[in-house]
Amino acid sequence: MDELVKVRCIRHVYPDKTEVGICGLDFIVNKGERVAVLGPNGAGKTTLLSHILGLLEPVEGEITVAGMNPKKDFRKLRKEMGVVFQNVDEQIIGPTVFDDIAFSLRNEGRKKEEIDECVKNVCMELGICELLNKVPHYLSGGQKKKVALAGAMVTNPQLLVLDEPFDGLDPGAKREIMNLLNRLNRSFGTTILVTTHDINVVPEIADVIYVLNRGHIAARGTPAEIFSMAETIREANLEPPVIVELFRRLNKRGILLPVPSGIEEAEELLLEAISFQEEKNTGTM
Amino acid sequence: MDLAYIDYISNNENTWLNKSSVLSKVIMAVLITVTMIMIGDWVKAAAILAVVLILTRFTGISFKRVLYFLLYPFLFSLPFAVIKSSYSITGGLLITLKSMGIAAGLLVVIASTPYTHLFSIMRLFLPDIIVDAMFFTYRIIFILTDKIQSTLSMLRLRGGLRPANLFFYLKSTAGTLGMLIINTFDMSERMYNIYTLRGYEGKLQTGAVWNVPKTVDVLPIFFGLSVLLIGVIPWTSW
Repeated sequence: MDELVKVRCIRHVYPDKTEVGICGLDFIVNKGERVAVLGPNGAGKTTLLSHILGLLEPVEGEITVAGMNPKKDFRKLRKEMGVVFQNVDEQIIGPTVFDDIAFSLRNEGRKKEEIDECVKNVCMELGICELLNKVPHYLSGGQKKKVALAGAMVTNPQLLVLDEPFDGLDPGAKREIMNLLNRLNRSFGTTILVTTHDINVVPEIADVIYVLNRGHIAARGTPAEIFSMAETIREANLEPPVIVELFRRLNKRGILLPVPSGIEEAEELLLEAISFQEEKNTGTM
Repeated sequence: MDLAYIDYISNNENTWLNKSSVLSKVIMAVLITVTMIMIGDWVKAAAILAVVLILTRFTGISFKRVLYFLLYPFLFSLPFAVIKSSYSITGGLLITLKSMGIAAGLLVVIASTPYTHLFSIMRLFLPDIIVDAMFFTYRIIFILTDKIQSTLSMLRLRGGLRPANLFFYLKSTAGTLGMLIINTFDMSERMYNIYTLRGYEGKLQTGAVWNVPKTVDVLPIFFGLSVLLIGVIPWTSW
């Protein structure tokens, strides 16, 4: 697979002399992958994203995005990246939803007809056409997130970066955003990089997980691989997903089942176990 | 919040005023302002104010709200009017009518034009950096208002606001204000970063403001000219 992002042991010093290092394993995002960075508050997730986006420059270490230095080649790379920040209020600038989504396109100097078409397409994709003439200030949290996502997606970027996209969303809005991200990844092959501390959503939105703990990349793997590392997860001040914890407890009680990566897999495993038990019971009777 | 209300009205109403171009509305506001400055007769000033008040009905703002907005120029002009009244009562009245008339004219423009379009017109006579700064300030006010409200609620809940104890009250208010200023600096830096990532390069592109002139664009200019005529033509000769 083609490497899109590569970060190797970076260190950054903030103006107030706070030093944040991100070392340990190499951080690699391949094209078309869905990658989640898991970590508690203060683990360095936002610092990592800021370096990838070219907003910060490390004092030490190596960082490349599409083979370029994100800080030096900021203008070239900017068009390849879409970003949704944690506080979308700070991101939304247009007086109407349409104006906000069109912001990047207008800055690129595109023609009006082209802008109209791009905005319409992305709105249809995200199902927010009815919001186009609304004032963003009055939208709900979930709607604002979708508008910010539309603004990030409208230029058709290779890499979509989302910082804590599920923060403050109700379960319904969370589910909608998750479905949208998965659809964008499937339909357009968009590479998705998400930071979160909500471990329960990770199996549904990521192929690869990185666990970040106090500036150290402690683990890399598929959801199933990461969830089997109970100690690493706990050391990073995170709790394993409820479903994983349930299976671990069942294992302790002698019901030996592999650790599932998500609810669907758990369902399959339990159904198999139940039918196996039923067959066994019928055979012995 | 009044600012949010005006913003909402300017983007959501669909009257002929909303449809007419920014330039024609700005010309109208300039004509109303010039007329009000030139006028020396309080009856004429009252007539123009009445006409402009009728125009505010086309912005979608309720009449009660319009009167509420006009309270600001009324109150600010009141001290000058009182001073002037010691020489002539009609002179004092004229001052308040003038300020309210100009404010009403500007209210018509602001309430019927999205703010990005208004800022775009300022590019004609102001440097880009100043217009962008005004634009960002406007945007930040929306976010800050929410923040100020939640900070004040928190301060009240934690017993930080004790109007009876003036020293304590001033101390905690100053502390909160300081924290808000620091937060604002942080926020403005973050916002600048985000806008840069979204393609901002020192000049905001705010959409099509310079459209092909339409018939509806003539109406505000016609209105402005009519106001000017009411103001300059001596009524006594009729």
